[in-house]
This record gives sequence, structure tokens and C-alpha cells, in this order.
Amino acid sequence: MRAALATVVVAGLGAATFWWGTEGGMALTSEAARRLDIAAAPRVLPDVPLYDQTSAKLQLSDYRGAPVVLEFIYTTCPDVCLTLGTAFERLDAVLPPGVPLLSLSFDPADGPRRLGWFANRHGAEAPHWRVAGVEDPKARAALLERAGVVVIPDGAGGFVHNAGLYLIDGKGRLSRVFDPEDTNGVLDALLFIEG
Amino acid sequence: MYLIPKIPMACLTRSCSLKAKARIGVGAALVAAALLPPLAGLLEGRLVTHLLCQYPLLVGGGAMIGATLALTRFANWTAPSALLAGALACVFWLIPRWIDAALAGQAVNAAKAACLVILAGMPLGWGWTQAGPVLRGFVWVNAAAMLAVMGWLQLATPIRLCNSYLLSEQRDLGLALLMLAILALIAGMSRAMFGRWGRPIQ
Repeated sequence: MRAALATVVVAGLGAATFWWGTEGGMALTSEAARRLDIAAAPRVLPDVPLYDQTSAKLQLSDYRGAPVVLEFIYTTCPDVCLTLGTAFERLDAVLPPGVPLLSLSFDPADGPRRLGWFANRHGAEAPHWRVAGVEDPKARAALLERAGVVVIPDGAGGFVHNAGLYLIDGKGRLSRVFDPEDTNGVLDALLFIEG
Repeated sequence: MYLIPKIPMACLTRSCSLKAKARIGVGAALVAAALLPPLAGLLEGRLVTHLLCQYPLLVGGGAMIGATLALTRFANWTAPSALLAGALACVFWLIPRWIDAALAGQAVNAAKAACLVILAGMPLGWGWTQAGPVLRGFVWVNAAAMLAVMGWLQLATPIRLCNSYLLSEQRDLGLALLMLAILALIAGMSRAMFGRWGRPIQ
């Protein structure tokens, strides 16, 4: 009897712990947890100095006042960034002019010239669609950290990263994260923001 | 009804045998080996070694301590709950979110180590020692089945489950888990056919 009782108590405690540890079964991966957390509590991104494909200097905060669609890429990426680039091409065709696109590289080796390659490949034209790098390594690390972007070497000279389409609201807050191909999700969310 | 021990925690006193002390020492050494900087970093660097070398060292170290303590006290009734607690604690630290969290923060990593030793290893060692053959067989078969399911899941998932590891490492883990499941099944079956689990001689 006490064996059964003790087992039921342990099972109950275990179930409660799993409920807590997975946000009620919603977040088994850190990616799911990140998206839930961002949607529930939008994060203000740090203001970082940027340079774009035309070598123009700007600040991330220059974008405040209107929503922005953001993605993190590196220009020599063979796979997922191409998906992201294609998703941005689709968005570029349908987004109103008031909603700019920003492809941010996390690769320190991406100078304006390489950013230009990426921009040409996908038909990105500043200022509506900027392909930009972050000036300062510390600022870059802080931005990635705040956004919850984890970049690891892929063992073949490139990187692997948790990719997504990011919606920044007019106050400079990262407010939603979508799958790399989920352009409809981004459009729906923008319609919702603009009412 | 039960044999009530005169000295519950005999291993912490002089009455503890040298052999028992040695076993606790070996358990502690396994835990230390898994957590010391050079080895810990290497093991955590890859998914397979993280889950199939560091975790077993921590759980195994804890289990040696738990099993030794269990010899000092007969408490058959604690076996199912202890084994369940140990299994649940192991599974919790196999959730991809918490594997990532352990790699991202020192505090969570320390909690992981403590949890795998105290809440997973020690109850497993304690419970296994207290358990009878039916419970042991039940646990063994379930563990083999869960290893197989986990291995299959790792192989079938096309996306990365952990932000900290590559997809190829996930595949390696899947294959390793399937192999472990087969080994566990073979071990269990040989025990059932050739071991001492047959019908008792009347």
C-alpha cells in the first residue's frame, strides 16, 4: 500500500515538474520556449551600429517608429539563409513601403562587398531592404544574445543557427518569431499590428 | 514485518565495511570525473558524449552510492517510487530545452549535475537494490523500449532539436540509442533464458 502511495506521489511531483519545465507541454525545445517567451513578453533589442551593402552607416534605432521584418544571415551560407533570402524576396514583393526589411549578418567576415553579393542575389535594394553587418563585436554578441540567436560552427567553415523571420514592432521590440518559410504568418501579424 | 535496521546510515559510521566505503568512493570519483573541467568540456562538446558518457557517469556514480546505502536498510516498499523518481529525473534532463539551458548557463549546468546524481542516480541505485525480480524485469524492459523510441525519434526528426548541436550529431545519437536498446534487450533476454529468473525450485 505505501509502495503504491509513494509511487503516486512521485508520479504527481514528476508530472508537475514536467509541466513547469515545458511550459505546459508547449516548449520541449529551447527554440519553442524562446518563441513563446518573445510573444508573451516582447524584448527591446539593444541599439547597435550597422553598415549596409552600400557602406552606409546607421543605427538599429533608426528603424524605430514603424515595424521592421528582420532576419539573421551570413552571406556564404549554403542552405537556410537561402530559404530566408527567398522568404524576404516574397515579402519584398507584397509588403507596403512603410515596412522595411533588414537582413543582419552575424559573420564578422561579411564586409559591405559580401553584403552586396547577398543583396544582388536576392534583389535587395536599400533603404527598403538593407543587408547589414554589425560594427562592433561586443554589440553583435549583445544583439544575438538578446534575440536568443545561437550560432555554432558547422565544422566545414560555415555556421549553423536557429533561423527565423523576426518581427520588430515600432518601439524597437522583438515581438514575434516565425519559421523561415512562414511569410503568411508575418503578413498576418503585420495586419494585426497596423489594425 | 520489515527488518528494521539498528543503524540506518551505517555507512557514515565506523560500522561501515571497507568495501562499502570503497564503493561510495568510486561513485564519487565517477561523478567528479564527469564534472572536472578538462573532461566535462570535452564530453559536453558533442551530443553523443554529453548524453551517453557524461550523463551515465553522473547517474552511475550516484547509483553506486545509492546501491551501497541500500545495503544498510531493507525497505522493499521504496523500490517502485525510487525507480520512478530516478527515471523521471533522467528523462527531464533529456528534454532538448533543458539540454540547451544546461549548456547556456553555469547555474543550470550545476543543477543538472546535482539532479542527475542525487535525484536520478541515487534513487536508481537504491531502488534497484531494494527491488525484486518482477520490478527489475519491468524496469529493464521499459528502459530498453524507451531507448529504442528515443533513438527512432532522433533519427526521424528532420529539424535540430538542440540549438547547441548539429543535425548530424542528432543522427549519431539516434543510432547509438538504438544500439543501446538492442544491447539492453539481448541482455534482458539472456538473463530471462539462462539466468536465475526461472521458476524457483520447490
